[in-house]
Amino acid sequence: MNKKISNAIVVVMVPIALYLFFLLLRPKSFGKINTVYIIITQSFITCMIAWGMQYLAKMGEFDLALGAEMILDSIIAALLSTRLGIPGIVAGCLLSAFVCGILKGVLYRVMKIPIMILTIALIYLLGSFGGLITNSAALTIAYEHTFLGRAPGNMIVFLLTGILMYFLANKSVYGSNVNAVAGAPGISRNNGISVERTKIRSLILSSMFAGIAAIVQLSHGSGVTPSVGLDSIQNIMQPMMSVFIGFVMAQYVNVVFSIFVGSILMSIISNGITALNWSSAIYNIVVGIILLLIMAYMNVAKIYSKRHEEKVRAIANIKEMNL
Amino acid sequence: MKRKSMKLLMSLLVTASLLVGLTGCGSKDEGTKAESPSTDTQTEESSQPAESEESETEGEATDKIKLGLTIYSTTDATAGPVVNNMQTACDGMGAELVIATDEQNPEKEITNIENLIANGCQAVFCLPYADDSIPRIAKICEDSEVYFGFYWYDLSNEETHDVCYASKYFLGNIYEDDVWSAYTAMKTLNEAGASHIGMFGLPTGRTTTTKRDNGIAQACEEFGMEILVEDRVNTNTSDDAASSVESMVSAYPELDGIVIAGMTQTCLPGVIQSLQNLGMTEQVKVSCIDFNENQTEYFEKNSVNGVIGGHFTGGAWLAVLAVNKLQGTPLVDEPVSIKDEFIVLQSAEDAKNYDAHLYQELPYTADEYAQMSKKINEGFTYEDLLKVVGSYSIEDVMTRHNVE
Repeated sequence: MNKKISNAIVVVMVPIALYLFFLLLRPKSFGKINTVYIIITQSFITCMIAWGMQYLAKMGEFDLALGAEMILDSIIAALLSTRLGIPGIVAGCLLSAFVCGILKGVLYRVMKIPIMILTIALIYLLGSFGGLITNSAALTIAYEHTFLGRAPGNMIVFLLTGILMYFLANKSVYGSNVNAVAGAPGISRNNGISVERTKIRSLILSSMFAGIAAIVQLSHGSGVTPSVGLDSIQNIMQPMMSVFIGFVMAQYVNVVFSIFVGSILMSIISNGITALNWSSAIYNIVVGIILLLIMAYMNVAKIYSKRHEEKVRAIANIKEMNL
Repeated sequence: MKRKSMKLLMSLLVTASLLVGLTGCGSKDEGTKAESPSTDTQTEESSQPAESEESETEGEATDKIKLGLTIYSTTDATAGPVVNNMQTACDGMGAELVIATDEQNPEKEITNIENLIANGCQAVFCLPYADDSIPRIAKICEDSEVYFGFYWYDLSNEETHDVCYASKYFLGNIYEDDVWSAYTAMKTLNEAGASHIGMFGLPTGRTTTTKRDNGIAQACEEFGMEILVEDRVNTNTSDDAASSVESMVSAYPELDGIVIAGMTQTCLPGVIQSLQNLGMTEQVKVSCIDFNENQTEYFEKNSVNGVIGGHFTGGAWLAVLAVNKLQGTPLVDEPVSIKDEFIVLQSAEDAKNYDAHLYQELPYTADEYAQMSKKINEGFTYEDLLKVVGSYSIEDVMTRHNVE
């Protein structure tokens, strides 16, 4: 069997196994095609944020302000939507995301402090800014402006973002630079790749991807509530988990696809807990156990694959010697 | 050199932004004279309760009785009216109000209380987020000789009740019948024909949560209703609530009602949006506790069947108790527990009346609050206060304000 196909099967088996697990526990709910549809569409937002995060994560950095940025993006978009409708939502989210990205880039370049510390400071700033704009009140958008939060609008946005992500990660100089910096920053620097510039670009890109996700998120929920303090970090926990899972699976398939699989896993867990009416407190325990199982499964698959290759090679050598 | 200066400048910028962020948490509410405790350093007043009569005029801010309030927000459809009513009460009775926001964080709440006291407040009010906080709050207030009281809080725990009632600085607590509110929300669903319910609940471990859960359980038993699924996590954003509704409906096709037992402010738009997307607005009935800014529109579109809330005068009643105590004319000598009334909205007309007469305008004017100060109206008694509190309703407000 083609190695690419067998690798893809190894990865795809993970969500299928998890789905079957919940199907066994609650066939009434997980036996429906509608549940599959809901799981896939609910993973879009998580996946788009995770795609943006993965560049920095590869280089060992995390942008914790993305949740606060998405809230600010949504606030500006909701305000613009009253005048411009859907274009206002798109423009508001993307413009706000771009400004946030540039701000982070400039601050990082000038201050040269770890991105995690810088972005924690920004969470407070962006959160309060959103609160000041709206006077801490919740904002809603009209139903006729929510096209991008439901099918087919959300699917179109997701597919376009996926294509963009694929080209950035696999076909662009920037993607190669990220891989080089992630592998060996010192060698990359010696080869003329600016580590700092690569990180700044990643900061801007993560903001832009979060901005796109905010378009779908605002349209899906039709409202946004300003969040002050560190509460907004909660918004990026699922994408962060998806990135971790995606990295583990990236040894088998393209990272764009593996992160999508990670997001689907998170969505299955979330839906499974709702369907089984388990206490929400169990959610983190389940996530932790499943993560450990996935890693164990991936390692076993890797060992098996290595042994299989060695066996095939040995048989080939014996055949060659016999000839 | 230039680079160093630039770095210094940017460092200062980020530090300043952090401070803006932090002080923004306790920002002023427009239309009120509230001040953030961390920014107000101008007034230096005694933190001793002023038992003696004040001889100064009301116009001078430095001579006013100063009250402190810590609350999770100052502007949403539930917290905003609490602040506005308390501010109006203080304006009417000639007191000053200082507000700090705590985002429902128990530690921040304690810090806010300390800050308010340091800021010269002579009485402080809060909603204890955990029973464990109460002995700490009582100790801080006793050590500082500052009066304290609780809004939205029922002292049903014997231990904490005794701690509070043993303190000579405890003024009282204003509470709502949360068993009744949840029961009524469920009754509304039952009357609308729903019996298989999905529930959005408050986080467990709070007294309010326990009471509302009890009310829901009581209604289930009485009306033969069933809670199929509950979610206590996805209530903080509309998007999370929308996803949760999708999952609920998919997992339980027989679901025909959703009860939101708190956090309606944030999650109702997502619930309504999700049902609309799924084309299930007719099939799934919605009832909730706590008001939302868009409730009139939802009633007009028949997206919601009932909303219970309007319990926002508790802060004002605490202000009435405190001002009278601090000016040396206490309404009552012992600590008191007063039950505040909910308002039930079941139609667009109810929602419009509420919006016009209790939200855009307040249920009690500054003049009406002024009459609750014994310094201004000698004949006002504690029984009068209880009568005012007990008669609170949309009809009562419309009658008092001569609305036809």
